[in-house]
Amino acid sequence: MIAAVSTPAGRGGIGIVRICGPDALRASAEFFKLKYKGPVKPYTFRYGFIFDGGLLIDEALLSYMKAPHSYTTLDTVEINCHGGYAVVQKVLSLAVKAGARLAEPGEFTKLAFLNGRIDLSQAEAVMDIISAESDYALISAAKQLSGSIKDKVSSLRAEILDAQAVLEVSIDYPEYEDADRADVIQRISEVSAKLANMAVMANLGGALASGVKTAIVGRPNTGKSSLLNALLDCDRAIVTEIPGTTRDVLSEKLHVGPLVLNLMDTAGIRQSGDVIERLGVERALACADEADLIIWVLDASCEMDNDDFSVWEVIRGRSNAIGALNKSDLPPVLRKQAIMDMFGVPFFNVSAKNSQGLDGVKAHIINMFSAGDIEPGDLLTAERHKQAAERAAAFLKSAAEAAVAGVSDDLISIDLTEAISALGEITGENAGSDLVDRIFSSFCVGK
Amino acid sequence: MKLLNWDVAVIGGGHAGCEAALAAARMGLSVILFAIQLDSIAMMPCNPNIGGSSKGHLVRELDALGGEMAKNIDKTFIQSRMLNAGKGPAVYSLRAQADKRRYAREMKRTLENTRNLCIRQSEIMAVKLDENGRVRGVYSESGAFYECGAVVLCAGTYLKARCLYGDVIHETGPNGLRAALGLSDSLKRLGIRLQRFKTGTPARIDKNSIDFSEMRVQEGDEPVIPFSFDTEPALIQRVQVPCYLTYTNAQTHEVIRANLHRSPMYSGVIEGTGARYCPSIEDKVVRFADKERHQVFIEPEGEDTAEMYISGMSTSLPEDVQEAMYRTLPGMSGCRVMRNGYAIEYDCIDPTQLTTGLMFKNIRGLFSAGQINGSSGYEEAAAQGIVAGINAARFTRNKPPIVIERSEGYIGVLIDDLVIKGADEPYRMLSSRAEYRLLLRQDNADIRLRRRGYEAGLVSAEKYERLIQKTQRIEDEIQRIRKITIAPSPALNEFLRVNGTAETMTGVILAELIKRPELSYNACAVIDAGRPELPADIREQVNIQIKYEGYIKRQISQVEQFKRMESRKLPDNIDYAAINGLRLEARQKLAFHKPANLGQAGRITGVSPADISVLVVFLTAFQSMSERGPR
Repeated sequence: MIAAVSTPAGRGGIGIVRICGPDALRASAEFFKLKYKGPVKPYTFRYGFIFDGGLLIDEALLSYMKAPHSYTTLDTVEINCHGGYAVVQKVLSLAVKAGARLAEPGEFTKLAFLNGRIDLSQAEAVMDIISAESDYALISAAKQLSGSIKDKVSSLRAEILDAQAVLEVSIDYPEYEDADRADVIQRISEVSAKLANMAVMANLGGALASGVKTAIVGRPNTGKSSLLNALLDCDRAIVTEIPGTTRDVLSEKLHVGPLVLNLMDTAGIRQSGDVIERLGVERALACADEADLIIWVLDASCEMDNDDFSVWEVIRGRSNAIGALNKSDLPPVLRKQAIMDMFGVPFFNVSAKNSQGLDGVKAHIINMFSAGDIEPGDLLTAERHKQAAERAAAFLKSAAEAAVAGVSDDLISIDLTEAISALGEITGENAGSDLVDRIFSSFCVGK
Repeated sequence: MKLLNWDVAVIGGGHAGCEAALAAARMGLSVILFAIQLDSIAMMPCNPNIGGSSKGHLVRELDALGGEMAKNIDKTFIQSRMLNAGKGPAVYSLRAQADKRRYAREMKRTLENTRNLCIRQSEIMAVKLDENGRVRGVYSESGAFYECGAVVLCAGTYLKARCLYGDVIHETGPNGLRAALGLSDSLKRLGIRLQRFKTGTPARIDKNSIDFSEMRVQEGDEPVIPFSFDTEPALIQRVQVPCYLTYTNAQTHEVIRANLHRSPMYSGVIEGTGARYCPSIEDKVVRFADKERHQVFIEPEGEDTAEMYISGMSTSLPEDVQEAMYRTLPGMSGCRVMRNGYAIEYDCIDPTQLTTGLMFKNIRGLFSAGQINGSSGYEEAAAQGIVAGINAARFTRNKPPIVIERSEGYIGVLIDDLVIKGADEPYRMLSSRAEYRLLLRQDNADIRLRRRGYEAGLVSAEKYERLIQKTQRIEDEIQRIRKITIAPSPALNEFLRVNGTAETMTGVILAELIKRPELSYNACAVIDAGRPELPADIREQVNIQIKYEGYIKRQISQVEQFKRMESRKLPDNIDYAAINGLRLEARQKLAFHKPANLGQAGRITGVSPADISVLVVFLTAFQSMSERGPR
């Protein structure tokens, strides 16, 4: 089963995601919920909603072309959703989650041809299409990878090659003494972490244009709303106010350096018997779950209570959380260092009331979402690239774990080779003789 | 003048030529092998050893196919070591120091005692084709014509060879032997493209002038593991001769730098392309200028000679500089050079003109193997030799060539790399070049390739039957330990504790225990009451196949993907220039290389994945059209 966005890239009124394969209808049912129950009849449009787990993403239309009467002759489902980049990519990633594989350039056309849907006399035209699409894909892939991100992926790939060359040179030259493998595992782990981070960042790729979803969470009365206001106050001139559409959460746009944050005000999180308040808390949790960035607000002027710890349960394990120790204008009870040590989350002393300490928060956010030297717009934006980075990270992780467990170099090298080839899909570099070249340029070996 | 009629003529008596001639003769054909000098048959003009990383794999594979190199080194080694023992089963590598003279003498004796095989001292000047472009025979320097059905070129480094050191230039082959001056031009007249490569060798130094007490001794392994699957280990345990390790130093590098201008490499006299993996000591000092020292191995050339090979210091510096340079090494301040190091330049062919069966695509019956194909190393040469020999023989009997795939052996990787990618420097086998090396281990070369040797007619039915039995016993034992559950018991936990691995409260499948890093098949013998008595080679296979099952499965699925591409044949008569979807560079490269299948097409430099997609579609259209006929 394959899936692809079949409308042109960029903002359009609608975007179409096409899923093709015997299992297409079942897969789409995993994230497309029909408004009105009943079987999906072929060649009709059905109205419904896209859900990511419990979270509503978009309203959409679904059409179903039953085999063999479709372009490819296989079961095909097309989902018409709203054409924003983020939404379309989200639907595509849901399709992938449901078991589809990203289609190769021109693969639908190829299937159509191979399944005899297109007449032989059209063969040449088909080849032109595929070739054109492939070239287009190459060019656009290259464009998607402008400047620093490509250099970054290339340099990570080179780091893996370096590490592998260290292992390989002592395999091919068993008596060679100068290959220092002491830090190889360390290096592999570092690259793995960087790639995993890149993949996480890639999820933001499209989102960056529309804004980094930022949830301000905390128990009631820690000063969340004041913090929101204080943050907005700093950039009054460029603040715009957009009423939430499908959700009741009000979101505010805030420019922070090169970033746009969509600040989402959430209800205070606490155990409550009140139905309305519980609903608000659920929304807050959903908001935090979906957020690209979570700002956890604590009241520094009093001890933490049980509600604070229930908030922590929401945040625990999220790599994208930072903390604000609010009310630094009052005599402190919570100490920044102690809190950071306890939760392993970066914290900042702020006073929303006096607008103090906000620059530190912003600088940290810019740093977080720029991953040091990645400029917004230079992130991995294509789903294919993201997947490749994730795969590479996983292979490297497995290599590092294997190395720690005492697995031998010949096996570790298998993972490294796969990681290098996955990154090659991003940079367009073909493994070929890279490793051999690397060995001979790095090490002085030979009879 | 016509001298008899032969099925196969082999030109050259080096490591490629010997294997080619033996293979064809053993397959029952009449074979004549020409050597410029019969005393130089199977000569080792450079390093005095066989095997090593990935080269050891080639020798094992050669043996599985029915070749001679493994048996010959088993007869004549003076030291043997299993290298890479700590780096995993895929890369264990056997290497043996040879007694060079005995190695060559034994091989010549084997040739002489092989039925149907004639060896002849003569320089071959030209290959003759018939009007259909098929090989008819060869001309010797006296103009004698030897008619034959197939020719295998194994000319090594002799074609228009010249040896250089300092400002001395000799128009000779290696070791002062006569160069082959005629054949290059004949090949050019046949339309064969030649290129010029360069390699080199260090000096040989008198053992009696070296103080080994200042060096680290390297002894051989005990017991010795044979190269050949057919050699009985007990019969080759013998007293071994040590090698020695020392290092260059600042003074050495000083001498070299001060005299660089006198090296033909740097004065521009040498035109040939040298190999990065075989740099001269001048190269090392220049390219790795901040390295304070380089390793130097002192290896005996044999038991009956005082000559020591100075591995790691090949050079073409002038005689006086060589002497001064070697004398800076610890323990060698009074050393006496017996033979100078030198660089050698020679003609070789562009190997992309060959098929994966090692025949010229455009000249039927003309085969080529060894260093003339742009490779380097005795093992690489021998590996190509046996394939070319088998296929030359099969050609004369109108049988299709035997091709070893990349997924079947290092021999396959070697030949595929040469003929598909070509060589822009002398090609050395490296384990890093083999994608599926966990499957292509030196320990299972017989399981991988014996059948091919048997089918070619080089392996006897009896030996092949032994292999089938071995495979069956391995399979039976693997099945057995996959089924056995070891019940929890204090004894089991005691065993696990002693071996430093986690204890268990429940029953465990034996195969799962073997997979634990701390355990192995052999280690588990004590808890495996029903274990049959099995020989060491079978136990080794069972252990590896169980222990690395996960990785092995991954590689097998990669191989399946590879095979799907290899099985999509590209017809000879495709007009690539007319396929619109292909990029221009791809059209040219494909038309030039004429790949046999999609997999090969994808490995050609300059052919992109997009071009392959186009070819897939084209192939499908092409096949449908051929099936349905024109409409």
